[in-house]
Amino acid sequence: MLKDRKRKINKRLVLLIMLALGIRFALINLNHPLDLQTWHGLFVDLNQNRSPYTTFEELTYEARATQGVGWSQYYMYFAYPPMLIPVYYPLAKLYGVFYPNDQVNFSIADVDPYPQVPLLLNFLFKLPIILADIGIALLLYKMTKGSEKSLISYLFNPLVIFVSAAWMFDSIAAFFLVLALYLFERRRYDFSAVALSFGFLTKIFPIFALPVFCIEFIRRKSWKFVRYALIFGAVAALVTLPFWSGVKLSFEYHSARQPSGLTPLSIHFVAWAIGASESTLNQLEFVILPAVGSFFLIAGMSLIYAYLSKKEISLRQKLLMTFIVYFIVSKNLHEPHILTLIPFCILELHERCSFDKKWQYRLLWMLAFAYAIIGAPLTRFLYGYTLDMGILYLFELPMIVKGVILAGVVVTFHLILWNALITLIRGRPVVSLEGLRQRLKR
Amino acid sequence: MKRKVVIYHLSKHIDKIIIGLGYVLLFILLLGLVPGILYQEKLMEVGIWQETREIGNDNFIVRYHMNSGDNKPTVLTSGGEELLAVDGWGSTIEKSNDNSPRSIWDHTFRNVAASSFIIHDIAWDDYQMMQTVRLWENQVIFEYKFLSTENEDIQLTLSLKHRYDNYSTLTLGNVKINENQENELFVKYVVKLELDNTFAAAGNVRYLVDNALYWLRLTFYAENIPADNRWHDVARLTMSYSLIEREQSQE
Repeated sequence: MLKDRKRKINKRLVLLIMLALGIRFALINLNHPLDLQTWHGLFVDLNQNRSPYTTFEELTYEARATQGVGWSQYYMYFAYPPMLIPVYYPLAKLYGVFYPNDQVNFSIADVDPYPQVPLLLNFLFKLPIILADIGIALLLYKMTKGSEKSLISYLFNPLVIFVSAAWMFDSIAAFFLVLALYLFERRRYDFSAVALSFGFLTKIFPIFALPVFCIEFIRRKSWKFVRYALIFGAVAALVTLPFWSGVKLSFEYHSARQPSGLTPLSIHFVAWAIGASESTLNQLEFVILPAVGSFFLIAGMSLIYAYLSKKEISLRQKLLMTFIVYFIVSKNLHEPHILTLIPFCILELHERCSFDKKWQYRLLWMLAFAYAIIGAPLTRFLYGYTLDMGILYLFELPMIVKGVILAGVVVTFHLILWNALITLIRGRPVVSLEGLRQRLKR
Repeated sequence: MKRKVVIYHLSKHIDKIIIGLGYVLLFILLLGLVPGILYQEKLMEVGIWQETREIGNDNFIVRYHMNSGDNKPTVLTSGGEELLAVDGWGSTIEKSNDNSPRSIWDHTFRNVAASSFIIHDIAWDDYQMMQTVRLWENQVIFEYKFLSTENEDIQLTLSLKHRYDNYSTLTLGNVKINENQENELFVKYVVKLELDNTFAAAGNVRYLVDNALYWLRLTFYAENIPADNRWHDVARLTMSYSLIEREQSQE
């Protein structure tokens, strides 16, 4: 009887996973043009046994020569930690078997590229990302004691589907982060440190979880935090050192990058809209606001770590709060980044669900998705199918209208982040949707 | 026992320690702010560079205009040697005037030997030389200037690395050169540049790509330039640019 039930559940799980895979693979020909240029370049570089950091450096120098200022101080190419290199090397080699002479024509700095790539490249690039999605869903399933709802919530979240199938590799980093948490909860601390390090080596943000794990040891009066941090550092150093000059340039790029995306620090767009001079804009975008961003990041993260170090709550909640604060203070917060919050929100909803939390979660991913629809805009992802500008820019709104809407989305998004943080700290929100609902009912 | 005491105190005061570390990091940020801003300012000061080339009877002149600030550009051969130190190659670098950060650097190759293969790797600070290419709205413009002492046509073989959609047209002078071409990479075109008075005086060739969606990266080489024998011996003259490590470029 029990076996039958188990088999039924397993069959259902397999069907759900197959459906999730099917939806994602159906969308692989959708891409963000600028990012696809990077993935294409990554595959060509790796196939030619060339470090993508070398290309990044060359493009950066060229961009500086042609543009000199602004966006083009660094060329937006492979500015990530090096984990993608071992992940994609065999896939790039496989791609090279079919397309040995493929080359990339990088667009001139500051100009939108429209790379046309074979479907195979899209498939091979997105394969690890989609598998990471499945991995996260299965981890959530295990961490919520077989809750199918948790698995479905993640696998069929529209933002997750869109980011993983059509945009970015955030789910790989998020997978390692959730895996680190899972292993930590199972007391497999060494493996947890390795997984967390892999997460950091994929995309920088999982490093903000390291203090949370270490503080947890300290709070338990255990010296294991030293070993944990050493393993994390050793793995990170081992993978990073061979690419040190490129990684350094990537970090320089990220620290000097002008604030953008779902952050109030994108205020330089207002200065641009009211006609500020080029030199004022440059000062604002590349000097003042990045410095303010660094200040916010250090201050915000220190405060949350200090607060969490004395708080008797689950590690899951601590990580959720950490990343909420990280998103509040981050100077570059793009739509795909929100994917990281989703597994932690699902874990929180599984354990302590409330009407308010449910809506905070929904609004967070919906607003990020709305930002992508208007900001990118969404129709540009169709360029794998058409180069008709009328279609690609169908959703493109007049600059002022677009600016006002996006500013509204950013403000609302941050209000919800704050409200979610306060809900987790105080146990009740500042603005209660539940209260609002009851008042409306009355 | 001692370890237990330490971890006990660490655990007790961890919040204060974190806040203290936060202050230290903010202080470090403050210290790094001034050099960081100066570095950013320096990056922003640097403008574009320009390049012109002149072909004479037995020489080939490349003229670069660029920001030099207080630094002198470094010229390297393909082997990594400093070109300025090689005998038989002439080069002058001078600051245009004290009020401008822009330098004009003329650099002349004389007595070009047969089968010379010249690679220009020119780095200045963090900068790398490249073609003057501009993309404005729907068109890409490459500008090259040639000056020939011979009143003959010049035949150029252009090795184009490009990709463009089918609506784009690549024109050279008045000739559409991709009219019957499929989308391709690394296409070679042999193009005759007919001399006219204007061209002979100060040749100016424009390559226009209408409705281009892609930036064209162009390496060109000149072939059978009908100057004198010496030039004729130079079967192939390739100009290409690649990265020089920053450390190498610093003097």
